[in-house]
Amino acid sequence: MTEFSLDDSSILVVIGSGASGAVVANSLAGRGVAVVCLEAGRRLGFGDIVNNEPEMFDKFTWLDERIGSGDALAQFPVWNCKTVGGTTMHWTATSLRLQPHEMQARTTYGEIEGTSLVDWPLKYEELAPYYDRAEDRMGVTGTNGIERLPGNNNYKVLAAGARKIGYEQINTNNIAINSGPRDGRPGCLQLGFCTSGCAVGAKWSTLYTEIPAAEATDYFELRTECMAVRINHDEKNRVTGVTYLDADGRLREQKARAVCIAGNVVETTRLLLNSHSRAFPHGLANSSGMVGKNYMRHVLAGVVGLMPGPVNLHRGTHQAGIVTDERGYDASRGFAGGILFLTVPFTPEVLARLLIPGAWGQRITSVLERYDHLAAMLVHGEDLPQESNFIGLHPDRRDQYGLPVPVVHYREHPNSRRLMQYALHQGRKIYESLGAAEVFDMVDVFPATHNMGTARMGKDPETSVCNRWGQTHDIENLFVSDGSVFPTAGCENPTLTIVALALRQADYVYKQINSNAI
Amino acid sequence: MKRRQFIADSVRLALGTRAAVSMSGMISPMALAGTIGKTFNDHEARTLFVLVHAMFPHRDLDDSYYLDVVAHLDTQTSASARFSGLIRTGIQTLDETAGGSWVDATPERKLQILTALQEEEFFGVILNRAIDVLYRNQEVLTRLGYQGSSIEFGGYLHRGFDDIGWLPE
Repeated sequence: MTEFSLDDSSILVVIGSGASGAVVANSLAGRGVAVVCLEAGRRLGFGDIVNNEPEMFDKFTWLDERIGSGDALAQFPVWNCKTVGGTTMHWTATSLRLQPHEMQARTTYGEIEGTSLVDWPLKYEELAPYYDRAEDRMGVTGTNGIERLPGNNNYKVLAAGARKIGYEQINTNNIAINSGPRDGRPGCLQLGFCTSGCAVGAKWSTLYTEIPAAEATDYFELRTECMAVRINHDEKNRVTGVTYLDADGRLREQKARAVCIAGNVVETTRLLLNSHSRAFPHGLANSSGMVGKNYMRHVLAGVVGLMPGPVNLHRGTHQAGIVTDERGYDASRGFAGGILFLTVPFTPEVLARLLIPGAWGQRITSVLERYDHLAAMLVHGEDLPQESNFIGLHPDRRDQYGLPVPVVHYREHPNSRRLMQYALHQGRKIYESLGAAEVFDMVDVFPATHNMGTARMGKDPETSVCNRWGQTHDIENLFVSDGSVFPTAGCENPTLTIVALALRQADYVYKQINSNAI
Repeated sequence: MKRRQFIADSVRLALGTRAAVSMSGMISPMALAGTIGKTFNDHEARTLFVLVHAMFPHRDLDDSYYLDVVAHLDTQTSASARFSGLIRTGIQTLDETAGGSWVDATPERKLQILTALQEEEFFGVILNRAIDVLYRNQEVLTRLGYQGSSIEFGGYLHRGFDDIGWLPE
């Protein structure tokens, strides 16, 4: 294993080993750039990945304290991972591109009161070649000649109901889960535990793709259980290193030539805000005051149908099922943004808690006893940016590292509620068209799994944190690599776009290093 | 684990058969279980047992699974003063509302009281703990139709992931 010296100031430090961090790190290490990757979590092996949702939840979820306010769940506002591979361990692998009009959201939707809608500082056409590369790299079904996955029972219910109510764009999704052996990984066995880490490695996760590939280069060192606490800079406002707590709780500093932050938005924001200095009193790279603002997630709700026959929704790939007829923008629906309908399974435990929150007695057991007859979907839609939604630091609460606890503040925009009501109505119709005895809406019960917007890209340094490459306006050798840079959210699950942007950023960083610009 | 099994087995042995549970609370397998528990007295154990059953009244679900919940609450109660206070205050509240012993009230009255108290903190805590214990037990899950871990069987690929037969063409 390659080991680099703490004093080596030629190192590119990447903070985080999830979708963006591991991709940036591997892309650059593969071209001979020395990379140290700091990962706060532990490294699991395949032997640690078991088919048990609560057990895996405890093993890799980010459980350090975070405080939700507004409409965010107070004690668990965000559901992501603290482990090597980051949230690619728990992601469902849906891999759809943003639509061109979604990257022109301000132009497309016009001015909407209370939002901070903008157009992206790059066009879809510029990102398209990186989407091509990302899809190939991740093995996205339905692209690059890769066969789609077969549909499970839950998909067949969704598809039949969707067709009955007139939808036509129905398939088993573009998904980064192998339908057959590819890239040294096996095909999907329909285990039914996608969000618990894929026990066979059919699902793309950086733990067993990008990370070992980077380690094979001699230019990459992964340091696990290392929590970045501060990014340091010099008088010329250049980043010089990253201070972190290592696995034994010792404070270290890794010198750096440049730093890429990939902490899945909440930690990215916290690190920038915590790295305040005399030159940056409100947080590093925050001369605009926009670090932490414009926090977006997605509109997310569940629809569960009690169907006339057995479904056994727990069997098979979670999200290999999608309806995209409502994905586009149609002003006549009365809201901005698009909607996806995606299959999802729930365990009896999750349903006992969330199907009818607080319910007890026969009201809930009568449904649980018909568990095999349940079908379920998620409705998933675009969330509009609002400057007033933010990630900040709690004034006095400290976590086990001694760091201020993050506060995640989110208030739903009325547009989101209109979108959700429409989506829930359509979702209900899908199951009712097949004779569902009862249909349940699961609303306001899920934590955010997608985080975006708190270091938005833009042309103007006064109103954005990063330029079109994710390079901070204030500090030329500091980059934000994760979903924080999204100016708007689109309605698609963000990971494919995060990976495409990370590949694009890596190309840019490589050129900058090669030309000694940074 | 051993202790929980012991409680369940003891109840069966004591009654010579599976304990019949009803909302009447008249049958008292918990009298024995309570004496085996670390902290609960008979009344507390019996109350919690009937309460948990009322929260999740599955047909044909063996008593032992509900006893597992009571055993879990017992362990938590002995480990935490705050938890103990919450549970015992809860039982007191039930009894006070019943004007005597909640567990000995009529089934209708018991449900009435639970409905009136369902927003209380103790109720939510016990509800959540009951979910933890009941719906993480694979035997219970199997009865409900959730088959659980599939990796050891090669997943559901050849075990019915797409075997639905009733959908219209």
